[in-house]
Amino acid sequence: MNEKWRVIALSQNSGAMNMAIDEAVSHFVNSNESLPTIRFYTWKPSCVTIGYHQSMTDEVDTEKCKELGIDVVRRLTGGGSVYHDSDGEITYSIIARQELFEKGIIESYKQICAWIIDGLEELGLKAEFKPINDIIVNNRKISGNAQTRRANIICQHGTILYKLDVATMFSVLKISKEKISDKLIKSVEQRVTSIKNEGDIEFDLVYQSLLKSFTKNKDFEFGKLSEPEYQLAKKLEKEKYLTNDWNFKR
Amino acid sequence: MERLLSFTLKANEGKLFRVKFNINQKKIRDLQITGDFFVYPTDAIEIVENGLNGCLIDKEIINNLFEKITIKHNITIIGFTGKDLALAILSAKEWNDV
Repeated sequence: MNEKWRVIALSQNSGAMNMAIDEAVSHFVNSNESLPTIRFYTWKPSCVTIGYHQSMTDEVDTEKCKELGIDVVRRLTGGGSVYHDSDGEITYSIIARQELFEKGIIESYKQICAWIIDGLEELGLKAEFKPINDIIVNNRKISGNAQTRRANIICQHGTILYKLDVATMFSVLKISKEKISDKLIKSVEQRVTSIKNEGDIEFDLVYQSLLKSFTKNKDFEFGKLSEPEYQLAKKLEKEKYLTNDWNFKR
Repeated sequence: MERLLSFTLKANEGKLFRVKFNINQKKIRDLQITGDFFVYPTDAIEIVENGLNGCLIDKEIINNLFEKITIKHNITIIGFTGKDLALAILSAKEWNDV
């Protein structure tokens, strides 16, 4: 099927706004008022997101986040807590009708993750899909992904790690203090990797490579949020993603 | 709401999840299931939690009711099974009994 896609180029937003945009775009793609959308984004300030089913107080040291000026927000998608460093990763979201993807959940993860794998391979990195929702390079995680299905829509977002800041990550994600030792940091570095760890590759080259692999064989145009999408996103940012009712609902 | 019992379990080949609940007359009350699992539809975890409230704390009964609820509401959970959930609830109760 030669579906036309919209690509929203890399932009930087707060955590609440990033989540609000994904929900607003889902709404308008579902009603066929917007094209299926590929969006790339980063986070400013840095942000901790938690999965839809997680408990903010169990997972995140929110006081430390405040002290460091790091946002916190609950995602629409399941999965685990993530520290999104403002210079440390590229995040993407794919929002489209379910019929454009494999019906099976793991299969659809694999389908979208293949675009990331292609992009990484273009950079010379041999990457593999690791079910349920990860991508690994040299047996270490480089990308985590999460998907929700609502109405007739798949919204999948995920991160591609550009560089790691393990110390900050451990200071904001709740892990008992005795575990924050060099030993554990080393063990995380053995389990997680980043583009910078794997090679001297410029950030912009990573973005260009992902842009190319995500749009390969697709009819697409670059676009922005429509005015109704932007207005809905601003409303959701204020009335949902910035509220304690949402962020601390579990 | 304060929940008195809790237990965290890493499901076999699954995800990490935590149950929190109260007990009233040997039955589950105020169940909350949190963790890094996936549920489709995403907000259907509340249907599972509500459906298990009032359930007797028994491995088979919890597992059977979990299966019934997920089939009836067409809910897919990736990361833990009914058996994992029953194990976590029973473990929370056992720790409380010690």
